[in-house]
Amino acid sequence: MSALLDVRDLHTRFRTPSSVINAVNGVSFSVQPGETLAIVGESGSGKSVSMLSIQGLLPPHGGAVEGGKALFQGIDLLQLDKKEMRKINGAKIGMIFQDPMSSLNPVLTIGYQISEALREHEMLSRGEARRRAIDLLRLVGIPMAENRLNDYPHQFSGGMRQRAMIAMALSCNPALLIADEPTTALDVTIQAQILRLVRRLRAERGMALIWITHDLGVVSRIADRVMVMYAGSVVEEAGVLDFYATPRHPYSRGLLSSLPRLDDNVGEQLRPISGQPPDLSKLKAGCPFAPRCPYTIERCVRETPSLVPTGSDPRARVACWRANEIGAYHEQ
Amino acid sequence: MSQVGPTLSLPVVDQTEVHARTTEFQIIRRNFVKNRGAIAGLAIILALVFTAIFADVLAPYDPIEQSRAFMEPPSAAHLFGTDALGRDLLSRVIYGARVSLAVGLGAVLIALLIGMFVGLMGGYFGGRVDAFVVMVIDTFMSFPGLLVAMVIAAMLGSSLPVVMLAIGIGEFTLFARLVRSVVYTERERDFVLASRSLGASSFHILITHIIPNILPSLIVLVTLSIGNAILSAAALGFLGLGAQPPTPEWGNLVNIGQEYMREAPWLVWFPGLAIVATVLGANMLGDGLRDALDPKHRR
Repeated sequence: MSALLDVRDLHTRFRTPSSVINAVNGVSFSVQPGETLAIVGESGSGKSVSMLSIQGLLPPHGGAVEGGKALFQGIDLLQLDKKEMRKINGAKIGMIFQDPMSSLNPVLTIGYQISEALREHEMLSRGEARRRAIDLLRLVGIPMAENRLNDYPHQFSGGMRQRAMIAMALSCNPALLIADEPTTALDVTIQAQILRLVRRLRAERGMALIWITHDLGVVSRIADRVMVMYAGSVVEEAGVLDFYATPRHPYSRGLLSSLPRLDDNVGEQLRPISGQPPDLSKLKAGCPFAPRCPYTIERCVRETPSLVPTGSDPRARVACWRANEIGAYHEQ
Repeated sequence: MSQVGPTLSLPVVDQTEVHARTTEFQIIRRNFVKNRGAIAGLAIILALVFTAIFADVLAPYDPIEQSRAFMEPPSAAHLFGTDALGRDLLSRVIYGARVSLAVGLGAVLIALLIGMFVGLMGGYFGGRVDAFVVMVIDTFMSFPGLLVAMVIAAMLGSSLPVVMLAIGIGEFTLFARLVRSVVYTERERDFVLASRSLGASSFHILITHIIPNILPSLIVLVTLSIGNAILSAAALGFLGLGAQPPTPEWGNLVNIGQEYMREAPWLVWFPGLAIVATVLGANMLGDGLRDALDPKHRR
């Protein structure tokens, strides 16, 4: 089975007059058709920038991809010119964003915005695009779709706006949907509805999904695989069950143990990860997590660990010198 | 739909129909009609345009025909009085509407077109394009608009189209700066990124996403500038570069009337009132349009 998206050694930097920010440092991963990959990490870990880099959507001044490959259906997206990239964005790769209010244009109707991609990519007439927009609104569960088409975003509720965004992203039936923290701005009940909706659409359409989040609770409900990023690098990748059962990287362990659990004893303290993520303009040799890691040895500070296969799953990887040691210790 | 809100017993089906029947245009019209200032402004502007179009029919006298009734105060025969050459001021003001409105609108339209193009380029593309745009704007801004207009009018000879062009070029920096600054903030908005993620081109984003968002500010600036343009046209006329006597033009009339301020103040009042009415009407209309057109201002 060949991968739908295969990203290899991606590097993205932001250059400002006074410094260079290494936002993405050699990220590699792949997504199989129909598979859901969750990318987890804290703010500034390079999750969103990696996705924007692949889609050629980095801000025109400042950020630039400075190396790597991103093979999508066998084509390297990073080699495409603007025009070729535009034919893929929206048509084959759809994207949904964190804040549906600001991602919808306040002065255009919902119907217009949903049919925009259809008219652009499939050259549909106004009437046809309108009918498809109604179907799409129904698909994402908006009642009385034909009446809501002429509404403006401010007339929609938060959950409906996110549904409309999903309808926009799905309008041309993409093979890959990238969701950048799509439930962060929503309350928990709406979050659950959106998750159910995306799971249903994914099953119906067989599309692959990349779900960016920092909410590990959401990950467990949607992902097949989990990839953890830290300071612009991948530190661990694993199947979702495997990840929750035996996190291999100390950072993953830290993330999971900072979550409240139902089976925690009453009065037990959560264990946050101490310290701050490193300044991306001053990355040194060595593991970027070393300053905060409880297992740091001298080698961690000296040499950067590379991402190596681990365990029985051929795609599971971890970037830690002591992963085996720590794993063995905790299995006892 | 606030009208159906209070009656809780109303079936849901009815609500749908109300919803379906309200088109975009109806909402805009309703919002516009509710605004009394906007209606008054529209009435003033329509009256002025009507006057300009039917000047032949409306004017009681020939605007350039002289008589022996010099500088007569307003009377039944000459409602606005007469000027130093015995011409009927009412007729001159009525005919002046043609020239003044044409110059005002034309000049603003030219300023708008140039300013929008320049501002959009700089604001959206940023970087070197923007640096160049800012340089052009700064260059033009370092001269008073009227001086630029004078130079252009002097170079190209004075005719109405030249006056429009000259004033338009003299004033475009206002539009360019406004458009540039608004585009600068709009292009960073999430919906621009969302549109790019759907494969939209820069041109498409400019036209469908950015321009509608800058229209409200532009409408207000256009209405404010019309008055300004009419005044600039008057100043050009005064300097011998605009409409030439005996062609009646409001600014011209004010400037000539100025000489007789003590003896015949009506010579300044009436054309001055016409200018004030135009500027006021355009502003009220502009405010009303902005509120009605912008979905963000609704409810």
